[in-house]
Amino acid sequence: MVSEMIDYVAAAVGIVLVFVAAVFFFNGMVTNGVAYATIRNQALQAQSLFDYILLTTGSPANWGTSYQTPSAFGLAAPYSQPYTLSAFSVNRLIKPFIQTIGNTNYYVENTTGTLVIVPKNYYVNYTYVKQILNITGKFEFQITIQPLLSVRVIPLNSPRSFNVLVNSYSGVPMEYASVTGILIFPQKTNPNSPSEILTFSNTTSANQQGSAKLVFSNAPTNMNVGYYVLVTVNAGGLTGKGYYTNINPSQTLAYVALYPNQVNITQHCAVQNSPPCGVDVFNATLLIPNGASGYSLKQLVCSSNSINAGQGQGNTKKYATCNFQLIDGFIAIAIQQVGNSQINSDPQILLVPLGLNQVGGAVVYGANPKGSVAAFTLSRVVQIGGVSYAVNVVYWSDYGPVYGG
Amino acid sequence: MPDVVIGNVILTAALAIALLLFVSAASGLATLYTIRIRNSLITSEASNVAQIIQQVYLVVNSSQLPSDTKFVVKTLGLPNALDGYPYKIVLNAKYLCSFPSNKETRVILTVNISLIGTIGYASSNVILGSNFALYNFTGANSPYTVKCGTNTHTVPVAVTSSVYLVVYKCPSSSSVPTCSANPNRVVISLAS
Repeated sequence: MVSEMIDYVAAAVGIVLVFVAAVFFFNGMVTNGVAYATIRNQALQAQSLFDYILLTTGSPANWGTSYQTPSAFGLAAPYSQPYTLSAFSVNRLIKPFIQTIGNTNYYVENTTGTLVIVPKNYYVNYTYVKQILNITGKFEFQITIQPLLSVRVIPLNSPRSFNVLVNSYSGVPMEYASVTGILIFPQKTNPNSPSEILTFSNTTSANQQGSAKLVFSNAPTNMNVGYYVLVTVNAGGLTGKGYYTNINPSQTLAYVALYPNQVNITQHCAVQNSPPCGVDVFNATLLIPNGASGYSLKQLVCSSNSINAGQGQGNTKKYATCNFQLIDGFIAIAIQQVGNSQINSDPQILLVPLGLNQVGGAVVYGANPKGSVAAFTLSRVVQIGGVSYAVNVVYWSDYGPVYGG
Repeated sequence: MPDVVIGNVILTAALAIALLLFVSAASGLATLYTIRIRNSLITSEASNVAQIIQQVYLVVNSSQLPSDTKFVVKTLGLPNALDGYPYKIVLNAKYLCSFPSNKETRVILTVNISLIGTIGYASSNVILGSNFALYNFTGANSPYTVKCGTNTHTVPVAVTSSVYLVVYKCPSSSSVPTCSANPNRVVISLAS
């Protein structure tokens, strides 16, 4: 009797166990199938978002150059081929850092060693962009814009000579790349007049290791001035840019502040705590890319060609203002100290790229996907001002695991 | 002997109850599964349609399209039925505008799909440029009035396998009825 009861109980327990196991496994199968479909739909959303960002200009279409806050977000350059991005719109994704100068906080960018002050609303806030992209819920994204060719310029011991290293996006040396270098050089003509801006160019080819030697044999032998070397490389149908400067950002003579079609040049000591300071004279020039031969130079009209923030009577020109038409090139400012005590001071070039593509800069914009459970990654090759870039978008939700129920 | 009979009766009853429980639970789970799969199927279809519309819009809106192209037709390749049920598609365009100028800046296009004759509904959103417009072939040929905010423009379509997109890139002036009401817009309509 007892053994029969044990059999019955064991049979009942077995049935219950089989039942529970069947429900559990069946539920798991259902959840995984639906989760797969959910993931697929999220991937489509990521694709849709990516295409919209890369193929539309946003609104207004010139939000990159007008410094307006965009009311629709897109990075495409107006009236251009598909997958051509606006250098100016991309520039506004670079987050400036706050630097206290004197008693004031400024929003500052440092792309080429020259500190550039930008307006407070220049950077386009990520949370705001999410809102205008209609990204609701707990979805996040990150855009990475990186040059496809990495170009490093290293000065050699012999004067006027530089080594250029060209690598692919993944670090592979680009053999036999065509390399064109331009030396931007300030030439002092008169101790009390602004320096001239001279350019010297040369073209060479990289070897099998992706290394090229650039020599500017026509340049002056005395290189004890603040100068820049801009390099353009072409390899495998791709174009890349790089630069070198010997200028230490902490030793530049002036800050440059960029506004739409206007640049302000402010003497360093005008905003530091310890004036007086001497007189600086400068020459502001627009470098306009003109193809293979380099840049056309166009001198800017400024409110003054000297700045003097000292304490003496009449020394009120803390800054000068120059007007220009925003183009995808550079503003070069040749500046030097003048006066009897500064007669031997060296001039320097402050070079401000008006698009990050001019120096092969990169941008990482948005939230950080680290720690996300599942993320979608999409990549495209784009052109920014003739320079080849890879754009990666990562899109993810932070509401926890989707697979496995 | 009576104990054995009682035991058998209890076991048989337990088995019968377990069987009923199993069948009903399996049926419930299968129903749940069917609903979820169906919803996921509809969502996929809505996402596909939304994606296609966005892609076609981006192509037609680009400067690459020859200027003498009057319209572009894209078949959607939709099935006649989803999970055995007929269905309908409703497109909604919601215009979002800048403040305070109150000028339209972008469009949120929502593709809604609902099954006819059973429960099943899903929607998918894509973002488009402000020059996007919807056109209803069956509606009156009245000028397309864009209003910011909650105002939406709706195009309902009962789906057959022959549903396709007609996309116009309208110039500033045109004698084509679709474009005369929508100058300088990319006009999209579903037709069958």
